[in-house]
Amino acid sequence: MSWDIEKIKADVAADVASASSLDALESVRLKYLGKKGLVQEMYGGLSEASADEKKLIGKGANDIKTLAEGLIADRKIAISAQSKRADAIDVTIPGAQRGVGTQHLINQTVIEICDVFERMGFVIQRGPEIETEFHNFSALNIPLDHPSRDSFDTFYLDQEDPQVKGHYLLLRSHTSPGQIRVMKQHKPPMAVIIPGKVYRPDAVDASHSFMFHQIEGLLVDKNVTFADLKGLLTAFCKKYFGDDVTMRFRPHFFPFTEPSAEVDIQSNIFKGRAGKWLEILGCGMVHPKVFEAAGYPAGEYTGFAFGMGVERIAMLKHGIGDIRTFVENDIRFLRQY
Amino acid sequence: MKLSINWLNQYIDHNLTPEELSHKLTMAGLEVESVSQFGTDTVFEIEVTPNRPDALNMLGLAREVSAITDKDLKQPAVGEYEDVGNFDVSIEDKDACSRYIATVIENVSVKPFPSDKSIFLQAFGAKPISNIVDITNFVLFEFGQPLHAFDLDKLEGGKIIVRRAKKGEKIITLDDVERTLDESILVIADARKPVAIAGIMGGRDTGVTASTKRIVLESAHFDLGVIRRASRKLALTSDACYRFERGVAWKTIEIGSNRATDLILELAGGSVAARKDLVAKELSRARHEVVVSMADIQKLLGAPLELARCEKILKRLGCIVAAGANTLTVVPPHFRNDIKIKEDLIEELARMVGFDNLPMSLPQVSANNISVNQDKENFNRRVAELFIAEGANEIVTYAMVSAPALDRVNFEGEKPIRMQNPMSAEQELMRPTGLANVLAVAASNFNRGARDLKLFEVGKRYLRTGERWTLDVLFSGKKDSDWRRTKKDLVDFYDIKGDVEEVFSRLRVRSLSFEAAAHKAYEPGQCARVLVGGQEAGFIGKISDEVLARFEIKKTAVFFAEIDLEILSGAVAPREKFMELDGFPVIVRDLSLAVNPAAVTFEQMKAMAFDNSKGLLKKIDFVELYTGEKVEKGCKGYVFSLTYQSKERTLTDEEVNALNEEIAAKFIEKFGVKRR
Repeated sequence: MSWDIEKIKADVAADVASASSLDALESVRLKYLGKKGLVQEMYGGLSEASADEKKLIGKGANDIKTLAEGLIADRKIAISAQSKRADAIDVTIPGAQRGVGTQHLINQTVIEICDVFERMGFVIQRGPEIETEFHNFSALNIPLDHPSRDSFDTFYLDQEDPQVKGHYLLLRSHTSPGQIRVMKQHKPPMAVIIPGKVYRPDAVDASHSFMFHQIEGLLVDKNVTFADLKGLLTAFCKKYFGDDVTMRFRPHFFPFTEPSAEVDIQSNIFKGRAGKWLEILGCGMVHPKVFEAAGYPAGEYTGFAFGMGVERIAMLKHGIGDIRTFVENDIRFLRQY
Repeated sequence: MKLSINWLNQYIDHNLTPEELSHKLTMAGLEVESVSQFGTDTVFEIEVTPNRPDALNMLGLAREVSAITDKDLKQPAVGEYEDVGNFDVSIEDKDACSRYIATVIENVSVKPFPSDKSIFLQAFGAKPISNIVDITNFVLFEFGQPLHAFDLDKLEGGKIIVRRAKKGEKIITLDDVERTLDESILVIADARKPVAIAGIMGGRDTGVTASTKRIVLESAHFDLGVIRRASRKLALTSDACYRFERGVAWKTIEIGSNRATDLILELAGGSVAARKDLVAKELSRARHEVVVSMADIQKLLGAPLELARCEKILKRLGCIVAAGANTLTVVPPHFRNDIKIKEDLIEELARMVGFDNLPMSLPQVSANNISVNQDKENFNRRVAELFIAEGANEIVTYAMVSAPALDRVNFEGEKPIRMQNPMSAEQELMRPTGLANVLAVAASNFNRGARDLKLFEVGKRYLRTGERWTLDVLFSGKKDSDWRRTKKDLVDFYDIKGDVEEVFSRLRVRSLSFEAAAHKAYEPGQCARVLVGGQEAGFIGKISDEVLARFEIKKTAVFFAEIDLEILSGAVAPREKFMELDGFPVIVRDLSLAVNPAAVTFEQMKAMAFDNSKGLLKKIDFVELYTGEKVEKGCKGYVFSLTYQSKERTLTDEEVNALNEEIAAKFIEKFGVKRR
């Protein structure tokens, strides 16, 4: 008897593929591999065949056996995966989530920004929010008749400054007094980053609040230059806002730095603001008067300082239009981030 | 400050397009905030920083453009006038008004201002009024000197007195508003009444009109603070006020007066009948030299600048410069009081070269003298991270609170720190507790239908003794959102306590304990004092219905904890040595007891068990609380699980059973509990 080996192979493949249950697959197995199956029949006829035919049919039967075993085993796994056992579970139902909490977006932003500076060797420091006029103004070269000292621009408290009779403590209007505190306590070299809450009597609206967050940075050493300031803040902006950020250093004025600059950036990450310069931070070389107030000898050190508003950066980065969102603490907002 | 390009072109040939000019001014520190068209003119709105009052006028801006473009500045020629005749000017408050130049011009003809100049004023938004009034505005915008013209025939007594207003004195200003004054406000007065609010706005009834024949032209110097405070008090500002608040240069008072006199004589005719330059307090400063070396520039900027270029820039800015081999000796112009030290000069040079044209480098943060010991910072950060891991959402609330809000939470404590100038009564106190603020957040979320809350804040309390980092935690509603639970359990005291215990035990605060306490914000019987090594560190418990009702919270139980993190971060135990995982075998025994909670606490029983365990009790777990009826009245069923282990040997069942019985016997003997 002669066998069409290739046709049988095709039949095996077709039969296996069309078997849709384990029972059907078992009949396919019996048909080819059973005691009365085709492969046994082929082996059975070998005694009557010629030597050449024997060789051919023997190899054919082996090939068909190997093929059928392989296909049936694969098909069995596929059918088992499809078929439902009585105790099978619906694995697509959501898992029982314990509900991990969320970090407030302001603190996320603070930590992200501080992390960038920490990796560059800066150390986090915290200063008090209740400050003296000396730290908040005088030591920062802000003159006595400066408008920012008015009660229109700074919150004064009913607590007297223990050092200066007749002067009252205030809520710091910026994180810069932290510079003075750090410098009074330590000698350079130093690189610190000072995050925290600041307060100004601004009427609350979509972009103003009487309490907001700032991050201050200060680096003091011998031979720190304006080029270092530019380099470090460029590194920060690229790390934090992405490598495709465009920056410019625009001359500005702060009483406690000289020269002073503001940094504007452009980036596609600020949706709807492409092509617009966005002011992102203020900076400058530490003013000699500030070193004097800190008690450092004249001319010995140079340094730079910078400061940025956390709410502003978070609002730009996440497209948040109203600063009040941060203190409303709507659980739907909290869970978004 | 506005800049009209057509007007600018009167003083300088700059050859820049408006776009180029805008960019160059911005990058020199005069940020162009907006650009608009006014007829054929382009008008910039420029943000002038407070150190640069000299740039609050067209000539000042032209000078900047001159330095930017290295082109000559064409200044108008200004005549000089000497004091003549007799005019009665007196200054009563010499600190508030240091100088007053009064020029009396007679036989003027009041008519319209020529249109070639008037158009510039209109670009600045100033309405054309008459030649005299428009000249005062023109010189204000040209030189930055505020001026005012009075009709001399309307000044009673024909004199000027600079004095403080009397309380209740009134004046109707040029804008037709009657304003009530007081002693804090400086006025210009005639013999009887105020005729102008000094430096801010003139009076309506003494101003120049079509029939005016004799005028008094005022050019003066007023104290910045006096003008600013009057402006704030009256909620009234003006172009004059804006400039006085920022400071007008001493010499400009005279130049402005003379320039206006020139223009009045030219355009309104008449002649100077009298002039009086009254100096009450000499404020002109001797111009001092500032020396800067090329090495100074290199040291601060990290880049060299060419000496010749520096010299040119400073001259263009109006400085007198003497160049040495490597130094420049500079006398700043009279209107640049902001240039005092060499760093100021370096900034002038840097901004004219362009900050973006200066090089960049990375600083070496080689050594840092600030200790890297960040224990407290890390502790607070870890507290937040662990509460987030426990499923809580972090919030940020205001540091302020109102007195009524503190009353609502029955706050009792030392007088909170009060603000002298709060925005409103809502924010008049610095919060001595976060409870009111956090409850308000819960209430607003409840109102939006979100009742299942786990909130926390790591913030501060503000006490007269100092600021204290504090943890506030609030739990309410359902325990979890597990869909497998058919009965949704509500959070209770042990949920919030468990999270607090777990977080602080992770942070190795070893001596944390709780004792029943009474607190006016909490429900009696469900409140504990949190102790660290016996020191009070806060409270935890169920907020009383009375307090909740005041926040309009009904039918939702709220649990709250407020814990002082300063105390906790100070009680962190050092890391323990690694504990071998495989010791001798442990044996666990349960004890089922009927306990009267009024007679004994779990803490006391635990202590008793350890005291009587011969050092073999490893831990004692609370595994069940039964409150049903199968236990005698007044009692609750407690099940403890006691784990025994020896550090030296394998314990036998017999000895552990005996020990377990001994402990049970002690409970019975000392605390009157019963076996179940």
